[in-house]
Amino acid sequence: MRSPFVSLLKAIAALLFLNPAVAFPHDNPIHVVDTITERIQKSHATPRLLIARAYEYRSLGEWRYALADYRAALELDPLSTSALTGLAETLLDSGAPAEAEQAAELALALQTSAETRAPFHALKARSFEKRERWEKALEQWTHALASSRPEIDWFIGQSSCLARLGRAEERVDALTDARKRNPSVVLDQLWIEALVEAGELDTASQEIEPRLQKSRWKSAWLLLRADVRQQQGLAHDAREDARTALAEIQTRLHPQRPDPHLVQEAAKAHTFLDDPEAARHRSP
Amino acid sequence: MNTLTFRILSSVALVSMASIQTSLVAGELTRGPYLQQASSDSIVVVWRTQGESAPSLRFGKSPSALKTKVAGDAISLRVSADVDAFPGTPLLYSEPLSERARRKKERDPSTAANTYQYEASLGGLKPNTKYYYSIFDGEKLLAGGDAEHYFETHPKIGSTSDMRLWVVGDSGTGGKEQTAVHQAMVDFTKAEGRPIDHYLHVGDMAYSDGTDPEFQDHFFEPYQTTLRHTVCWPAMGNHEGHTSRGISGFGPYYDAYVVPTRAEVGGVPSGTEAYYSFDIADTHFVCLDSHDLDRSPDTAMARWLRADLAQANAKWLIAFWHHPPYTKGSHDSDRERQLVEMRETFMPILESAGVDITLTGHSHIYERSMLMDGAYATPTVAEGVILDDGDGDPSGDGAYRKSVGLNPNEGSVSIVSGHGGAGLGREGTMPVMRQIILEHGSLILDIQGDTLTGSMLNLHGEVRDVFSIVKRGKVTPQRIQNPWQPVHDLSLLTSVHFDYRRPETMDTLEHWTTIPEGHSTFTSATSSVTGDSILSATASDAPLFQLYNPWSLHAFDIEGQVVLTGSDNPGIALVFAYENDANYFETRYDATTGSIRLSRVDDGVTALVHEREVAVARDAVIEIGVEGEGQEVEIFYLERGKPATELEYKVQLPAPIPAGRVGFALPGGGSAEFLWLEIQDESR
Repeated sequence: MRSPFVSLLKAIAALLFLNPAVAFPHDNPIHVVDTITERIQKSHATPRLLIARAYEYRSLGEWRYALADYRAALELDPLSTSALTGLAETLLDSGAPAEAEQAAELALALQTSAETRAPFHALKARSFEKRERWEKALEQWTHALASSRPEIDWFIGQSSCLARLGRAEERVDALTDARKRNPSVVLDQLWIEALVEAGELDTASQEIEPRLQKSRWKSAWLLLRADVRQQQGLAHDAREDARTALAEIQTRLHPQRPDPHLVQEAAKAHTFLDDPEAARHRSP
Repeated sequence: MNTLTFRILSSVALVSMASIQTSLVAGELTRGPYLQQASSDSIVVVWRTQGESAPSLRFGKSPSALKTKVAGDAISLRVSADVDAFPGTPLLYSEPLSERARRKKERDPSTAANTYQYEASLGGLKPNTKYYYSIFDGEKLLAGGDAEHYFETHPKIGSTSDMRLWVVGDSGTGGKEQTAVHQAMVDFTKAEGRPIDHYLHVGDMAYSDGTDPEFQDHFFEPYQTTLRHTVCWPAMGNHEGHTSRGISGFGPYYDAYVVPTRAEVGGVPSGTEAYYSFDIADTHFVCLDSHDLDRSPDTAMARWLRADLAQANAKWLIAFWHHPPYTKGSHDSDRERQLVEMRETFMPILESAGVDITLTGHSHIYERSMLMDGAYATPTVAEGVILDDGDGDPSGDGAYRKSVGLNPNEGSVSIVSGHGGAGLGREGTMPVMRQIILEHGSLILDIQGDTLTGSMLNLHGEVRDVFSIVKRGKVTPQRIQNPWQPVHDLSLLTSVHFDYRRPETMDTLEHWTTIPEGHSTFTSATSSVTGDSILSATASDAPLFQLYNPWSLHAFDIEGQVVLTGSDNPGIALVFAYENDANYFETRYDATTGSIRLSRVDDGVTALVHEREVAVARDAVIEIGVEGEGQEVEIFYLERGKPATELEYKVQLPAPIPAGRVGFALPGGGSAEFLWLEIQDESR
């Protein structure tokens, strides 16, 4: 008897085709586009060549050409999963999430197992998120996470939707489960954020302290602790944490080109410090 | 390998191991042994056999006294898909069925049938200690038990660094350059009496598609003498990405490597082998996947990096991945999305955490920056982002200076080390670079206490660049508004390309020479035939030569798509080995005579070398090309949209092509419209 792992690997292997393995002598995308164009001119367009060229156009950010190639590939092979996936990804990148969702749906319909369906549920979820349809997105993330090897980003998507929907306790449960399935520190941090959001303040405090002590850069944990303290009615302590966090953030902010994430943290610190003007100013 | 899966399945795999041990069928060693995931108290030794074996490993502090035996549940198993192993045994890469029909038979990317991969985890070791080892099939020695099979555990995390790293990128061709680069490192370190301690590969280690056989032929075999005693810490390149996927941690790349996912060697858990971190002494290393993971600021990889760096408490911080944030080699970091995103998303995170060095490949060149910070803009500019515009050489302008420890925005050095074996290329000049060298080679990084020194070693064993960073006391960085910048010397580029679709490529038109001057035009215009923007060349009343100024080449490739528009004298020649208008070679496409003629003009006398009758089309787009090297010239012709007209043939010359300028020529009264034109220097 073969293990279930065999079918899983085969399923994933099929998805490798998403990344066209057409080898060209120069892999600079500009040259690859030229080479494929020449090949098409010399013979004729095949779905494989069109998909490969679309991939290169995407790497150059040339959405219009990429979309045209994916659509041309689909005219030749309407059942091409890679063309549909590429089309959906490109539509998402180029700001057309509704069309992306349709393409992902078509690709989804071609899949025969839960494992191969999972990435397309994730694609649909991302397209719903872009349209701020959180319930729909959550539904798709849930389907995607039924996979035996879900991506960390899928857990993040699910968590983000639950947060948007204000379902704090469900978010804690989902992340508790996620942490059992993957040891990523990202899921660990989200779980603690969710605990704070759900008002499980004692547990959150216990989890924050050791991580805070262990960190060299402490601002993220300080701001989370400030949140806990604020909710505990310890406004003065919350402000102290925010002040300490802000001081640290300021040593790390590039004078001309600050990291947007640090700017976001600074805005949050200003909010705790009852300085809405500075918070607004700091918002990226 | 996917460690997560492994751990879950290890107990099942053990059952399988037991069954193997009872069968005792001899296995032939086909890969390794090689080392992975070293720490201060553990290491993993990996090898493969063709056919089952009864694996064990012995190690000790002398090759003649390997007293400790490792077997049973400390050795994990993976098998090729054909092996009827116990359910749950992890499988090595097998090509998807849907792909099989598409490829040539000889390019099977799958793991060879009947392959068994063993991964022996050794724990409880002493830090900073050298051990020797050997591997066995039952009682039969497969490898080791000699002075060349050893490993050294890391020093304790936090202790002062004293290490030598070897950094290689884009090497996996299996060619002579790759071998020479490796040998140069071996000879250099031997001569210095200081071997490498660690090996970082920044991707593209198994051309063209990162298949399992390519990993064997282009990575494991060429480097085996190093891999048996030195851990290679890998970053996935785009070529490995043809068959492996970062998202699922699946494919030959992930089969080959064992890297931390649960902070086994310091850092914080990434939960994936696609990106990871580790500590050696007081140096923190971060590896990112720039190829196939989402590079947005709120996705898992960026979040993980922030968390990892928040906790990293080291003196040095080195980050490595494949796609360079700054390059104008064979790739352009101002144009390509992966490169732009690594710069715009990840460099701010790294620099606000005090990164010292970023190591990348992808672009087939060696480029090393000045000490810089905050160069996130697209296109990259040097103004205001350089903190020290010297050469960083202790015996030149002096080492770059930073404060002790990891301090935000005090500057980092960005290095593209994509010159490990693949064909080199340079298409521009990146203004933040202090050294741009178009030679095959590798980088040696020495970290000793407060000093990091980088040495670029070319394939001949010559040190071509040296820089140092010294971290002492408190340094206040100053931004230089008008720093030194490298000269954009067109003669150093390896290709020139004009394309009506890309207006920026028209900039180099000024570097063409027209002979005779004043009797012609060479300019951008709108095609009278196709209506496209084109390059128009017209010879008014005399034959015209257009020669690309900066180069004198003996190996070249000239190609273009052109419409012959001159009604009186339609034809065009691609010119090479041009010394003057009485001494040159030409391949003339003549619509009047209906031929392609390769001729040599010697002291004004034209001697026909080869002629072929071809109905060269006029008022249609034709593609023409001539490639020359040594005594061979390859000629190409195609009328667009008519595949039957395609022609490609080689002509042998009686003597090697002399060096000379390249370009094209029109007869007097002739004119042509180029849709694009490209010349490549094939001599490097």
